[in-house]
Amino acid sequence: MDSNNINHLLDELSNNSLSKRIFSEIDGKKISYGELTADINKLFVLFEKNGLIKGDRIILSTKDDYYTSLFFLAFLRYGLVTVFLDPDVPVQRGMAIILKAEPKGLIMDEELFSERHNNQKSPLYQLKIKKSKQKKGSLFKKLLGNKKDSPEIEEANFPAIIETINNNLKDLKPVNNTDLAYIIFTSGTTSEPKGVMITHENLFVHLNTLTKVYGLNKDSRLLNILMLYHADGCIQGPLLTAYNKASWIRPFSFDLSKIDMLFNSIYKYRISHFVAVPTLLSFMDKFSEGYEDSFQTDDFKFIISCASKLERKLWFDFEAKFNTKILNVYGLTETVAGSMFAGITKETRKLGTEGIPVDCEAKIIKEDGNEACINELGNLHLKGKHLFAGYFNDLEATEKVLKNSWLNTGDIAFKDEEGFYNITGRSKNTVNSGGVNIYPEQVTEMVNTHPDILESICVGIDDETFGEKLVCAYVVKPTSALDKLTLISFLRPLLEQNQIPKDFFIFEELPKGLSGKIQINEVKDLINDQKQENSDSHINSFDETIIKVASESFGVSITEILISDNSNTLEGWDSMGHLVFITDLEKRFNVTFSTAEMITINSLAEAKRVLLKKINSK
Amino acid sequence: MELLVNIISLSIPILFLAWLLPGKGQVAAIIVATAVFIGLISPVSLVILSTTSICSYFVLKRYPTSTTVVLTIIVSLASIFLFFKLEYGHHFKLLGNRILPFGLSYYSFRQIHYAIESYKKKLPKHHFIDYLSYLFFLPTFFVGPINRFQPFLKDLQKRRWNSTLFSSGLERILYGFVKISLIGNYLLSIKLDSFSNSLVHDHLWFAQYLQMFKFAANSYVQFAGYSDVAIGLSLLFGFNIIENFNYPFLAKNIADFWKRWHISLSEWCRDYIFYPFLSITRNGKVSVIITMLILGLWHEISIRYIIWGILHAIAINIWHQYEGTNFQKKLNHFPKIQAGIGIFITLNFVMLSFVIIREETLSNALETYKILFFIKN
Repeated sequence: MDSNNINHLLDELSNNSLSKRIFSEIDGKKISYGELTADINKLFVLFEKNGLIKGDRIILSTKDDYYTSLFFLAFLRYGLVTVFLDPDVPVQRGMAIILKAEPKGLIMDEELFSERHNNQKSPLYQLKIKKSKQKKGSLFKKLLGNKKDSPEIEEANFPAIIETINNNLKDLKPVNNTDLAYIIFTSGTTSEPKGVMITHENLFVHLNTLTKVYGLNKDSRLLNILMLYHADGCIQGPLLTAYNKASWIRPFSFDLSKIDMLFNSIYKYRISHFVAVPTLLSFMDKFSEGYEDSFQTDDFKFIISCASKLERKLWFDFEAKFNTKILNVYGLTETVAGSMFAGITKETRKLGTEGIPVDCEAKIIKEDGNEACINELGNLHLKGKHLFAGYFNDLEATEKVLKNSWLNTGDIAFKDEEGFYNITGRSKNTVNSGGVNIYPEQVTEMVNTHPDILESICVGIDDETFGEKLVCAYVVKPTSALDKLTLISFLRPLLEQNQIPKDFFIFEELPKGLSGKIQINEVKDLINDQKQENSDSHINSFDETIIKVASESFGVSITEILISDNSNTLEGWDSMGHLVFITDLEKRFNVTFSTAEMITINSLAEAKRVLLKKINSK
Repeated sequence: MELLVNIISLSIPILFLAWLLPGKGQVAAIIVATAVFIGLISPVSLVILSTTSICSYFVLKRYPTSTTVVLTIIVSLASIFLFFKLEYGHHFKLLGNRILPFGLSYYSFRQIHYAIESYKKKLPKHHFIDYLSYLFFLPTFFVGPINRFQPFLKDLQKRRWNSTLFSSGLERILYGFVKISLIGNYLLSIKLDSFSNSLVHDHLWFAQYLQMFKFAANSYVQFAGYSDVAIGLSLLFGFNIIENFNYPFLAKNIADFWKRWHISLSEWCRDYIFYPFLSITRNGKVSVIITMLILGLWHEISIRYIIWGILHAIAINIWHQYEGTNFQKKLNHFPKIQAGIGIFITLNFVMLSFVIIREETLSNALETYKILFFIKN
């Protein structure tokens, strides 16, 4: 790959031969490389006009996906340091990040300026992003030469401000490999956020690795609907796309009601690579009826699963059901995006593992500081040119994890006989829920601010769909009647949506050690005990019973039946078999199906759903 | 054949619009063209179809209750049976020719399917234009298959230009015409017919057997050919439509035959007639008889189709009775012999059952049976 730095990359993207090639397709709007580079060049003029210089940190915070990618690419080439600030981040944390980053400029959606007012002493460059709506009759106004309403205000905002720029910046200084590319604040507490600094060298070395592992080229079409303010969204989305002169597809803002559209997008947009997180794959697996052939297109290569551990069962089931392959990526924000890869080639394929390191080294260090043997547990350490430069203005935190160029990932792992790495847990207190890292300390800090809370702690517990989920154990004042809903209402303005604990457990007191510190593992045990009382562990035996009945009704071996099977995939599920199956289920569960229910049951999963509904309503 | 040529001729200009117009305009073009085509043949039919479409969509959307579903089914079935199957439509001069009765049957079956799926809450999120495009889809409107809404909507959402699909569509249309013209109209209807006629005097039994085969084979290639053209045209428009036939004459038993013959209709009958009756009666045999009776009546309201339906119902019930017996289990050890015998019996049963619907009267059919069963020489 020639584009080993941003200087070369932008030169290549500006080439006329690429001008009509599609860079992105977002919400149905196509942007060509010609349009992208023209917009980038205009931004250079704007940056220079406003006195921005190489190395300045700029807060970027907008909900517009194209603008995020545009500014990010422009910043990279101009030498500005992007400080990613999720537009949905709570006000308090947003302000803390702005304060910590000491930015030279703020480029944010207009409405964010009022809520994230800053008290910085130095004058900041401020650019408001405001999409102008096409007013009725504006075409005639333009034709007739009518003046716009409040032109000064409109033209000071983006994108109106660059419409007046017609020239290109002549003298654009090259960016060096050691220059900072971006900062992502991922951890720390609300009051003291921790920013991961990535240099141009880190970034481009890793883009090269990703390109190699994924087999990307200019014909690749990446479907990436992940949040752009996380590395997996931005780096493995627009940037990796631009690096390969490929196309980035983001057809809609995703929510669960669009699962069908997500499946259909694979064919419609000729997707070659689909970047997803395990939680999304889990949902797709659950709502897949009728879409099992979605990945059987001429263009599709494989799914890239990142951000959290892909459980072996989901990996196996998904590949079997959709007849496709999943490549699992293990990485951290500190390693740009990935480090270890598993799943595609024969050499790297071992389901349930994190794979093997590519373009980097890995080792397992035991508690005593020695390197672990095969199958021995320890802390996973990584070394490579893609490792971050450190935490922004936090030498202590940096030195804690980065020693002699080795990064202590905080993940507990072992290396097996075949050289595959397996993550088994974490030494640091982080919860990865659905691919999003949550730092429980941040949440606990906010819960404790409620006047009725005596003490609390937030911890992660295992969850079938999200991998892990954050729950809160708390103790209230004796006179308090604080309930879960009131507490959630209190937390909502203080935390991001995914930081709100999914469950709350009230205790009379929390277990503490000699030093008075709350014991996390003991709290988890208490929570599990409380959960056990309301256990729904019958679900698994439920599946087994349905499969057993299906086996007897259709004359198919139990080993050949999956709960995801339906009347088309199960040999023997004909009209008579259906009657036998239904009546057997009725006898076994002591229920009677109505006509509507009987004709609805055309899969084992549907049978389970209807049965559960009937049993629960009894 | 004339109908197919008309549909294809109209499809050519619509194809351009269906691929060149922006966004939803592509689908709208197909809907409008189908409506214009129906309107040209019978304006009254267009009014009836449009009215039932609009009413069923909005009523079902607002009141998805069993009552509204039943009402939709009654209105749809009444349209079929009163106006077309009993040919009252002709008395009231509602129709200009015979092609719409077919179209209406498929149309009504699609509406009933939509109503029941809507009641079952199995329909994905969609808009009125999606429903209209499903009902007013020229390639399948007149000759089926009775495609389902969910896969149609899926194709509608992911539809894009695909040259491979387009060339497959052209190939499929060609196959359809070969089946209809070369195999059906020429080889079976002319060549085999004249050959079997030449045998009538000296080899009456063999001549009758060949005639019986000719009718069954011609019915298959004609219908399968029409389906090929419909599926091929759908592919040209970017839609994958359900297959309607899967080598039915290679079926190993009569239940297998109905999984291979007019698949979209037999699946429709299974889901919307057999299963509901099964849930009410809890009796598989009775449900099979009711289903096959209705399936027969769908073709034509007549004694001969009632007998034909009942014959198939009896055969299916006998098969299910036989299935799982010790004798069958023993035969399972000789799969090739079992398959051979199964294909032979099934094919001959199907051909024999077609004699009833081939002959103008029951007495004619009886005469043919006498010859075929060596009762009369």
